[in-house]
Amino acid sequence: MILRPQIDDVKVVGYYLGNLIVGIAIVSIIPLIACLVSSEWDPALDFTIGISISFLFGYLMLIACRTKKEINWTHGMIVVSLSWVVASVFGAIPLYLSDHFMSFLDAVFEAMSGYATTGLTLAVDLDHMSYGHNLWRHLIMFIGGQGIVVVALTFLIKAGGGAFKMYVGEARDERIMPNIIHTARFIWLVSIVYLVLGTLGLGIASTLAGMPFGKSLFHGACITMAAFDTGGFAPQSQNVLYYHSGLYESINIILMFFGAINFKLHYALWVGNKREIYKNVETRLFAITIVFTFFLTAVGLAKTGIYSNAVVLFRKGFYHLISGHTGTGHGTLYARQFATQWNELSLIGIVIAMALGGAVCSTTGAIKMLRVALIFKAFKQDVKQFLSAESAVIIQKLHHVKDIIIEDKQTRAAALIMLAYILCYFFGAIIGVLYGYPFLLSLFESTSACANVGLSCGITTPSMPWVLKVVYIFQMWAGRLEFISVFVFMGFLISAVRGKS
Amino acid sequence: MKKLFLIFSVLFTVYSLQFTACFAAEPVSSDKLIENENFYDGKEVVYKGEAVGDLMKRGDHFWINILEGSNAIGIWCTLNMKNTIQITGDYGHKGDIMQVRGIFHKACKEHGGDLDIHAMEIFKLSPGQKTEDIIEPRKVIAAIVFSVAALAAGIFYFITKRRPL
Repeated sequence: MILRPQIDDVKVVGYYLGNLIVGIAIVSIIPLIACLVSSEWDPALDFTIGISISFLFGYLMLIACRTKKEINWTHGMIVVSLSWVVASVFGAIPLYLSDHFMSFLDAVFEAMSGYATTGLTLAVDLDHMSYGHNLWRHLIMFIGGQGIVVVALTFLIKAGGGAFKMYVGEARDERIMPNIIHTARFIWLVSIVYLVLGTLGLGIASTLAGMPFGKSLFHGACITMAAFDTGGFAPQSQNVLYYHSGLYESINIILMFFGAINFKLHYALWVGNKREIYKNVETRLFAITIVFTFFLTAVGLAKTGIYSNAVVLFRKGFYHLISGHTGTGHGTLYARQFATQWNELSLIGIVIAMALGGAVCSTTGAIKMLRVALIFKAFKQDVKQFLSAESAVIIQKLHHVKDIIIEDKQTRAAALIMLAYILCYFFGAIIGVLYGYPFLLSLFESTSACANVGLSCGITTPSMPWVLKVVYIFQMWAGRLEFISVFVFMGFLISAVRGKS
Repeated sequence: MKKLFLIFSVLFTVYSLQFTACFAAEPVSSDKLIENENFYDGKEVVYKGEAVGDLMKRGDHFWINILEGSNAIGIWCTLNMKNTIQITGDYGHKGDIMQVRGIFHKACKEHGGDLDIHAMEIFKLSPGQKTEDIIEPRKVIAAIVFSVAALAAGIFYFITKRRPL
């Protein structure tokens, strides 16, 4: 029997959301400072309005939703799923006011794309965007990569039972450290170390490429936030093509790769356990799937004959393959070139890579390596069982930081999430086809949105149908949260209507 | 016969001039170049747009990205062309409007497969300028109203927070 939620249930959710909105207001002060430092007065007003609206709504919710009721699993899931929508709506306010978006829906799309670390963009005239707005686009990507709840756990919410309930809802079911607050802080520590290293590396690369040093550092910070958090935004409309630099692309690849590996693995490396990187099932499978999908892409590109030699083919093919596989979405091609230059086989290679994604508990989206490994091992176990004596008990193990014996429960959970992703990829593709786009291109764009990648073959533009924008927003949201908390939220809505009191 | 020769000469000259004007003076849009890259690949094109971002020096050449419509295309120029570009577009500036004549590459061998144009000639059509950061009065009013309301809500929240439920 489904119970209708009580007013106190709504208050618990509202209270945590109020905290989150106040958090967004506080974080928005960073781009406001950037505007003031760079004498961008009109953008500074955009942020002042955005910050004050966020504080206003946040405090009103905190006042209206005070309750003694403790947060439970259902509340945790709903808070998380709504957090991303609320963060996108409030985060969109300064973007919309910037006049770089044709509608508020476009600004919400951009904010969701940022928080979900997708990287699809609907910004108009990006090359004339202010430092403040550009910093905000990349900052929301940095926050989204670590997870909005991880941010809240680190800075706003006190340790307690509610913390883990929300952490799990945000598609992070692995504790790196016994305490969830320490886990959240470790995730931030790793991210900030990479931010500093990436900013310096890319800053030096773009200075060598001929850019002024100060601007190089700004671009370096933006691109690092987008690459390590497997986001894909860039400060200029040409994305990474703007820099025309092989060195820049190489550093970018390293950052994308580190963004796609499990934070548990980062921890293992942090404490000096270097062997784990070779033993871990996710890194091994990641290497295999990179080779396989790059083979498809390279054969496809070779057949087209567009790239005159192997070095050029490797540079273009491998860069976009890694960008797709890690769920980043940085590119050195114009979106339409995927449609006009690349053939079906090369696109299929990228689509498979995007659909698979990186490691669990990383900043990447999509199905993820551990789930693929679990399902593959379960298949292997079943086949072995058929080939063995009836009484034999076949055990399958995989190594993920420690040796794990595979159980049916884990396989079932992995299979369900994999199925949800595949259905969601096709759902978006069918909507695209309904609007007249070719199937493969629709699948490419839909997979890119749902797997939080951000590579585009030209469908995502400000002039695309609004229904498709809404579908992609939903896909980015559901895909980032790995569906469960979104389904719980939908169940909550249904129970509010049909549940027994 | 002389008259006939003269008429033919005039007609031929007019025709030739018209053809040359059509080919050399009509810039191709960025969308057209990207959509029809196979057609334009390796051909001489004329491209016009706003210089944006940075002039990036590479040895005896430099890169400049020129924005037309919704795409900016990288232009590979020799260093002696650098002085033609004074202002590049960004938040505070409208960049110089440049016209480039050069060879279009859909996947340049020299530059890692990038789509680019190698400039043979570049000149400024109109100079760029600083753009004013216009402050809209309605934004100022909105900022004041919402800030005051947020402050009031914040004070009320901290007062009520201390009271027991």
